[in-house]
Amino acid sequence: MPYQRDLLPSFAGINSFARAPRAGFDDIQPGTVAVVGIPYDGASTSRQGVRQGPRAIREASADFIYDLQASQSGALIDVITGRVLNTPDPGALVDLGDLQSSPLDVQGAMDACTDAFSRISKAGGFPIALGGDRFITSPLVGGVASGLGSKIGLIRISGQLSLAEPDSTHGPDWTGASLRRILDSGHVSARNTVCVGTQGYISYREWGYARDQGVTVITADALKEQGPESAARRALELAGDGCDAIYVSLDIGVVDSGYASGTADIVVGGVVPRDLLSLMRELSASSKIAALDVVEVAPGLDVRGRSERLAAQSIVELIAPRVFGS
Amino acid sequence: MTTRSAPNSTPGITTFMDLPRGDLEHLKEGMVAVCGVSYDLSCTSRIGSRFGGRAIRDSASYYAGAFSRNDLVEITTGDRMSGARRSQILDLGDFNAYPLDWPRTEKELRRSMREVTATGATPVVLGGDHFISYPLCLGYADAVRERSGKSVGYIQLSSRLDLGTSDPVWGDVWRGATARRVLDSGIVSPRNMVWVGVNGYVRREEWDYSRDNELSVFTLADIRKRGLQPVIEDAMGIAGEGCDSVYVSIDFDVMDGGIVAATADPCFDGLTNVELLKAVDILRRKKAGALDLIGMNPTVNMVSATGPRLGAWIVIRFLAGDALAYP
Repeated sequence: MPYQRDLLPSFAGINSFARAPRAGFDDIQPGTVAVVGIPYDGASTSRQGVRQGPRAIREASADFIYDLQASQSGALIDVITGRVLNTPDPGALVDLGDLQSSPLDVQGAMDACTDAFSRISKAGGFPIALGGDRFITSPLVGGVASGLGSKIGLIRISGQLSLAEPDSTHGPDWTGASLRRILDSGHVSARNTVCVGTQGYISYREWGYARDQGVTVITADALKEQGPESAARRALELAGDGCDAIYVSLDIGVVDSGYASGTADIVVGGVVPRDLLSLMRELSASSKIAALDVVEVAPGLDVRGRSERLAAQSIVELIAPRVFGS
Repeated sequence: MTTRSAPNSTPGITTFMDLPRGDLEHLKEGMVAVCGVSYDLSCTSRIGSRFGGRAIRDSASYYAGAFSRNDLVEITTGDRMSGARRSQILDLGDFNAYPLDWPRTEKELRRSMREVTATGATPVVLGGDHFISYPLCLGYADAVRERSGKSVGYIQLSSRLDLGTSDPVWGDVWRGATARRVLDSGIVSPRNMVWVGVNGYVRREEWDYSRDNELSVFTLADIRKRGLQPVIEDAMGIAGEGCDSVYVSIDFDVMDGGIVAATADPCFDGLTNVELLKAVDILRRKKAGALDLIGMNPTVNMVSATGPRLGAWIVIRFLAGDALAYP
C-alpha cells in the first residue's frame, strides 16, 4: 500500500520543476511540456557556477507551485495583468530529470542535448531545458530542427550576440560562439534569427557579421523604447516568417545585474524583470513557439536567490497557455 | 554612576538608535515605544525574519552617533532632523513569543500591544513575519476602543492581499491569512481596511474575495498611474473614516526585489526605497497610530545592509517632526 502523502510545504519534498511528475522520454505525448536539466558548464569562459542552475531553478519554482496547489479556487491571478494560471492537467507538464552532461566530455554533452530535444520534438512534445551555459542552445536547436524535420526560427534573449569565431583558448565550441554554430549548422536562417536585449560592448566583428548576414538585433535600449509587447510582436513576425516553429532561448544574463547577479556575465543597463516577464507573456501567445531553454543561471553568485526565481517565473509565463490554461 | 560619551554605533546593548530601554511604567501619552517580535514560523518559505528586529536596531544604531553630533538634512525634501528627544522614545525590547505555540503567542502579542497602546504611546513594532500583524492590530484596536470607544482602520503595504483562509498545510496560521483574520475578527470594519502596492500573482479566490466584498485595493498599477501621493492619501482617508486612528503594516515584499531582496519572497516589481519612504512621510502626517515593519529577513541578504538600513529609515521618517525633533 503506497504511503499516503498530503500536500507538503514549499520547502519539502523532492524537487522537480513546478513539482511536475517525473517521466521518461517514452511518456511524451503530443502537447506534453517536458523539462530537462542540463547541468553543463564546460563551454563557459567566465564565472563558473551554472552547473547548479537546473537544481536551483527547480527549487525556485516551489513557492509558486505551492501557492497554486494550495489555492482553493485552483488558480492564481496576476493582479496587474489579469493573467490567470490554472491547475495543470495531469501529464501536461513533466520533468525528465537531468541529461548526461560531464563538463569534460563536450561531445557527449552536446549529443545528449541534440538527442533529448530531438526525441521530445519528434513525439510532439514541447521541450524546455534548464541550463547550463549558453553554448547548449546550439545542440538543442539542432535537436528541435531534426525532430521536426524542418528549419526553425530563433528568438534569442541575451545580452550577448555569441557570433564569435573559434576562440584561441577554447576552440570552436564555446559560449561566445553559440549562435554562430547555430547559423553555421543551417538549421536556422539568419533572417529568422532575432536577438533581443543585446547591450554593452560586443566585438565589432560579431556586430558586422550579424548585420551582413541579416540577423535582427533588438537592443536592450530598443526593447525599453518600443516596449516588450511591440518587441515581441516584431520578433515573432521575423522569426516565424516561413517557419512553423520558433525556438526561444533565454540567457538570464540579459537582466540588469542589479536584479539578477546570479549569472556568469554581469551586465549593467540590462533588461528589468518587469519587461522580461512581459516579453515572455507576449511570446507565449504564439502557437509557433515550440521549445525553450533558460541558460546561464548561476545561483551561487546571487545569494539573494532572485536570479533563479526570475528564471522559473519566466518559464511559467512562456508555457502558461500550454500548461496553466491561461 | 558611569557616564557615557557620545553614542557610538558599536558597543553596548543594541537598542533602536541607541535610545534608552524602558518598560510600560515609563511610557506616557505622546511617547513612542519601539518593540520587537522575533517570530517567523508562520512564514511559508524562507524563514529568518526572526532576526529582523535585531538587524534594524543594529542598523539604526549608526544614526545614534550621526544624530548626536549633527543635524541631518534630507536633501531631497529639505527636512531637517536633530537628535531624538531621548525621553520620548523608548525601546521596550521584544514581546513574548513562543515559536512552537501559536495560540499562546497570539494571546501574548495581542495583550502586549494592548498594554503598550493603553499608555498613550505610539507603538512601532519590528517583526517578525506578516502573521504577527493580526494579533498586534487587534491588541491596538482593543486599547483604542477602551480609551476612546472608537474603532481603528488598517492599511497594509504589501505585494500580497493576505486574504487566504485555511491552507492545506498551514491551516489558519500563516502569513498569507493576516488580513483575512483581521477582517474575520469583526474588530476592524471591512470599510476601513486598505491594501496598497499589490502586484504579481495571488491566489485567485483572494482576488475574487476582494472584488466581491468591494475591499479597497490599490495595486502597483494604480500607484504608477495616479502617483504615490494621491493613492496613499486616499488610502489613509478610507482607512481612517470614522475611526480613531489607523494601524499601518509595512511588509518588505512591497519593495522591488532588485532594490531590497531582504525578504522571504523578493518580488519582480514593487516600490522603490525612495517611494516607500515618501509613503511613510504621508502616513505619518496623516496620523497613523501604530506601525509595524515585517517580513525583513536579513539572512537572505547578507551581502548588503540595504534591508535593515531601509527599516531603520522607515522608523526614523515615521518619527520625524514628532519624537524626532525638527530644530
